[in-house]
Amino acid sequence: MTGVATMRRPRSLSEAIDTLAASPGADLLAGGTDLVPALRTGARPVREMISLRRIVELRARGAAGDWLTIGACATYADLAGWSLAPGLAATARSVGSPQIRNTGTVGGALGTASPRGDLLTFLVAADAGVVVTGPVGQRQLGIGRFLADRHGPDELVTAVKLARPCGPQTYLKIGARQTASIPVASCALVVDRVRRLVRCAIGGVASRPVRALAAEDHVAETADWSTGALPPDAAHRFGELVAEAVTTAPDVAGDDVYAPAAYRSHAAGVLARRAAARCLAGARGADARRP
Amino acid sequence: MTGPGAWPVPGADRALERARIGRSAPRPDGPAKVAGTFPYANDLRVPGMLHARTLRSPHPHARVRRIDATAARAMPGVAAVVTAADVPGVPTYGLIHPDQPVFAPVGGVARYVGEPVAAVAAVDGRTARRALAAIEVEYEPLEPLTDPRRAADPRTPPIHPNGNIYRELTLRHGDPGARGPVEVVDSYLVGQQDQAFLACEAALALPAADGGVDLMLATQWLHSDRDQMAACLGLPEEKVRLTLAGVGGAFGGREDVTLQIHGALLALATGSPVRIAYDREESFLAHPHRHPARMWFRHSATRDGDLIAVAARIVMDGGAYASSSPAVIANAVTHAAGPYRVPNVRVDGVVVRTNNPPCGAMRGFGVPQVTIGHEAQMDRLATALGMDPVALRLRNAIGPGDLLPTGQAVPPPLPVREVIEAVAAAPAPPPATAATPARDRPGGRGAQADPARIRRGTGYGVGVKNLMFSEGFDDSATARVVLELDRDGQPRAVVHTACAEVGQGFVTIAGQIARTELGLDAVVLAPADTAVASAGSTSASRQTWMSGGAVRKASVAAVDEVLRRVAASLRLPPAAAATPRRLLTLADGAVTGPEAGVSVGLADVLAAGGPVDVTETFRHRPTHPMDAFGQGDCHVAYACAAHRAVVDVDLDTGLVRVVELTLAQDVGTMLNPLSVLGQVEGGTAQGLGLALMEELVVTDGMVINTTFHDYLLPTAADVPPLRLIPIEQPAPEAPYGVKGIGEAPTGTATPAIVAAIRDAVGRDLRRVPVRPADLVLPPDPTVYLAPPDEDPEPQGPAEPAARDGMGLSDATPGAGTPPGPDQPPAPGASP
Amino acid sequence: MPATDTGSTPGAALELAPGLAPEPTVSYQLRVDGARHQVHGAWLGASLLSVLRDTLDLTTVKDACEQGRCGSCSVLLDGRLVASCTVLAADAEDAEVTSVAGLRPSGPARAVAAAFVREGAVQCGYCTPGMVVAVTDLLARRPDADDGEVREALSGNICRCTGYGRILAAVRAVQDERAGR
Repeated sequence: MTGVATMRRPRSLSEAIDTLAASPGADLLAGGTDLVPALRTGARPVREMISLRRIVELRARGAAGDWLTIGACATYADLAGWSLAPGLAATARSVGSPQIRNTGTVGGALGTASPRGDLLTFLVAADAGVVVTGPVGQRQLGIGRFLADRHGPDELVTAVKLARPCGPQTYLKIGARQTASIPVASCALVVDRVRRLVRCAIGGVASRPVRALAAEDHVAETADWSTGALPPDAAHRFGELVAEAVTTAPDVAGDDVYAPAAYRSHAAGVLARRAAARCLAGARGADARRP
Repeated sequence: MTGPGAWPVPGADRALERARIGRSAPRPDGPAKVAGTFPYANDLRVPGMLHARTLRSPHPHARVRRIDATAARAMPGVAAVVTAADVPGVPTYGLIHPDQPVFAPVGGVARYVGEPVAAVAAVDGRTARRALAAIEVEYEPLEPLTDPRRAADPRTPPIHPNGNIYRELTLRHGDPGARGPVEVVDSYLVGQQDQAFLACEAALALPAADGGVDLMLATQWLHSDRDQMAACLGLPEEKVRLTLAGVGGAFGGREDVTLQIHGALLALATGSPVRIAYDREESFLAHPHRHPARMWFRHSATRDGDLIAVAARIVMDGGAYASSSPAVIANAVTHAAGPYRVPNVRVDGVVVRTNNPPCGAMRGFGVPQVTIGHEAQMDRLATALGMDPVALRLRNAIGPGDLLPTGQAVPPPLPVREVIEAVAAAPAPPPATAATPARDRPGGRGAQADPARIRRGTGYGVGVKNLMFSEGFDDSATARVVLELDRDGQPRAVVHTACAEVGQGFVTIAGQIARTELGLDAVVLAPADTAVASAGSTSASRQTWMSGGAVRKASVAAVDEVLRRVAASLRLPPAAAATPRRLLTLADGAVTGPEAGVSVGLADVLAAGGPVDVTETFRHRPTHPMDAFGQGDCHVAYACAAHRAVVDVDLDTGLVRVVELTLAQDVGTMLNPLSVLGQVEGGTAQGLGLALMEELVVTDGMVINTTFHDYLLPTAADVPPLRLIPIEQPAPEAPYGVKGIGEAPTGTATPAIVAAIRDAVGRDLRRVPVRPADLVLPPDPTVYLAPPDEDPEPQGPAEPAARDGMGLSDATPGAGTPPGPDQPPAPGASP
Repeated sequence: MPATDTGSTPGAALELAPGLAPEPTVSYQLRVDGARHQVHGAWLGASLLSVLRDTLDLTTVKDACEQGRCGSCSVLLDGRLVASCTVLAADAEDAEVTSVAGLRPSGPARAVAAAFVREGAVQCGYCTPGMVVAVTDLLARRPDADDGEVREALSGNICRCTGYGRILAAVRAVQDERAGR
């Protein structure tokens, strides 16, 4: 082997952490769907490469107590049929093409942290925890803090933790074609009927997923939590508040090849209304799903 | 083509051997293609070959101050760097006008983002890429000219010595001032589409012992490439030899020279084989695209719905170099009134030079743009008249003998009425219901459209497309047919043309024609190359007619020669020997003549007299240039098509799903029905792409979306089933009555889909592609070329413009057809 | 367009970033279609696609977008359908790579290939090897997939020539054959 950087293929997490400690600044290779094309074009330089593919413990997913744990190297395809996490599964199914779903991973989505990433948007709505592991052990960060601070150069994302669902959840998305496209706008909605709250995140509209806090509060206050239903106009109002949240979000994206910015906020509102109608129909049945 | 490595396909070989014209013969290259062993241009590798890459200008408009390749040349593994200084022949090339530099020269100007500045050959692709980074180029950025309307303004300073106007055309037919009681006026904008053929540009250049170069490449027109290459390389044509390698799609995007000269220069400079191949980003930057267009239309009709006049103004952005712009604008202008009988037509078209990416040929060649315009207008007119849009179209459908806006009588057949009636009569698909799965609603599973908010729309797009080259171009195609004995002593035919097989299926058709005419199953196609005379371009819906015609003509001549030999050997009387077909027939490998009591095996004829070797050239009926008023028999033939599109629109998100497409098309005689179906399905899908998603976005001369990540193509989930209703009316002037089929449906699919969306949402929709935002946000006022109801031209007959920046216009006042009786004499026209 | 979106680097072909430092290289083995190949001194950043095509000359795998968006380079990686342009070659060291050529011995792929030729699913043919891999993979997992599912499952494989009509006809033909219809 020659040159300044090489390929490391650890077979266990501890080996990966040792390797990372020995070569700070190395690129962590998960699925590669973002990294490999970027290396080719030169958009990202080639550095020391640590592949995580062989670390079996990173591919595990499971449930324990109130928590679901998803290993960083779980692929979208691994999650697409997971009945314990319906929102996550819906998100995974909506990602790219079969080829991308078979390759891309949870950890990769967090590593790239593309504002258009489907998974990131759902994880924000789910208020997921991100488990990072380093030489001194593992720690868990809230998704918001993770996106703001990332992790140390000697740490890697090893898992994502989600609260076991306490109510309906969904992920809706508008792409530029019928399927196999990145989101122009997307909406993840997670209903927590135990704590009587919802969390809503909008993707594709700003430099990171946007939480619509005022809209969430509106639902928390107006929903009939005994049935899990919204009053007739509340879903509509929820959509308006989400659209407003997008318009006023910091770092809101401008017009691009897919859509003008005004469309994104409009679309976010529509998706939010739909998501609310789907997740907060209560016991009234299918009719309540029509806004 | 069914070489080693091809998968055995049960039955295919036998079906192929037997297939004559009219049968759905499978492709001879199919088994190799499904196995992945078919050699495409970018699959070619030879030992010791070098890898080339091209350095491109990152500026839309810049003067090249200095190029220093010293460091790059000194890099280990770099074999050569070439720039404009290394071009031994003519420094520029071009399909019609040689106005494009091989490389932007020092002291000269680079005129678009992606214009080649230098090329490198190195031991591998990575080294070549790194060498590019080591070439220092000093640019002086200049103000880019990116607005085609500014470029059309004579006061705008020229950005090229040839000026900013590629061609300006004036068409005046009947009384240009005629108006009617019912009028609709509007403007339309069409975005820039890319051919997006799947296999990017590639060639392998081999230096030859005679000082020349051999090039194996993917192209649409070997001889045009060769001529342009020879001029720039300073070599005689016979020292530039081209062979067609496997072509992974073309759609017009391989009609221009891109990497050919660069690769040859590097091979000659290094004395080594050079592989030059583009990746997708480079492909997007390197080949010309479909012209974006701004169009203004005014349609005038009687209260009964008879068209009285069409006025139109078309501005096309040709980008930095001419490519085929002068021919594209002629198509746009002459087709602007559509497949309708219009007594009075006034069209002004201009295609201009800007610092945007060059535009040239793409499937439909100027016609899809105006079809989007005239079909939108027909729907608007129907609304204004309170008429059914189908009834209005039928009422005005043009037919054989009617005059086209060029004054040319429609050459028969042209079943416009029949295609419209056929699509209109087709059963409609079942409506979407609450039970329709989300997957099949607009936006698919992701958007979960509310069934109550989905609106169904139906729209029609009718169009006509000229076939083959126009305006007096000496259009020919040559084929050579050799009848010989194979190693087992069995007779076989070798068919040799320079026709580029780009995926369209000429290899299948050529075999079917030869087998039909020769009465022989054993037909082999020789590789297409420049050892035989030109086949012309694989474009303009022309190869089945032209190269198919040449194969037929050469096959017939070969049979004649066989029969002559037999007649001579039988010592038939001179009268009979002169017309041996009266007595003798070649079929199933034997010459028989029951009257003369003859039965001779073809093998015996060839064994006795040696191979039969004939070369024939086919020409279509000559066309003529247009006069200063756009009048003249400028096109050879036409094909018409009508699409009906049914769409579902999500009224909340503006997402559109095309539910079904029905196409009735004037197909002449179908030589291979399966191939016809494949062509029209593919053409329809490209029209769908333009309607809904495909646009190369250019901002201030910068191409924004040069990847398949953000230049989106339709997937299998986007293209609905197509129902084809072929209208078979043989074209009497064509071999077997064929018509070209690939282009017409590309032009009609787009307006049909857009009309269906208009029908669903009740908006005017002046811009294509239609984006979801156009259906839910307030309309964008910048789409207008001129405000509606405002005529951009003064009333009455205008001076013929005939500005031609090249000084090469054929349009001289007084030439060609005189104005019609109702038309005031033109200035300069002799009575 | 946010800067982190790697897919939308304007004018990436003009990128001159690599610089002149020596490029990192690695050597490893690849197992492709049952055969072992030694890769010597390949660029560390090379995709599986580029090593297959440019280093090993295995050109049955096609390249068209090199961004995981067109499916021309589809292969099976340990039995999973992937776009080989998104896989780092050096990371495929201990995986089994199966291209269209490696599908050969098995019956279903042969039926798919035969149907593609017979039904007119091949025009320029550049998408075809990847499409045959994707169709074979789909029919192995979901032999009775309905039209909508087939369309979605093939949405990662772009065909520019056919408009997909004959490709879908070929898939149906294989399904019908297997069902004895």
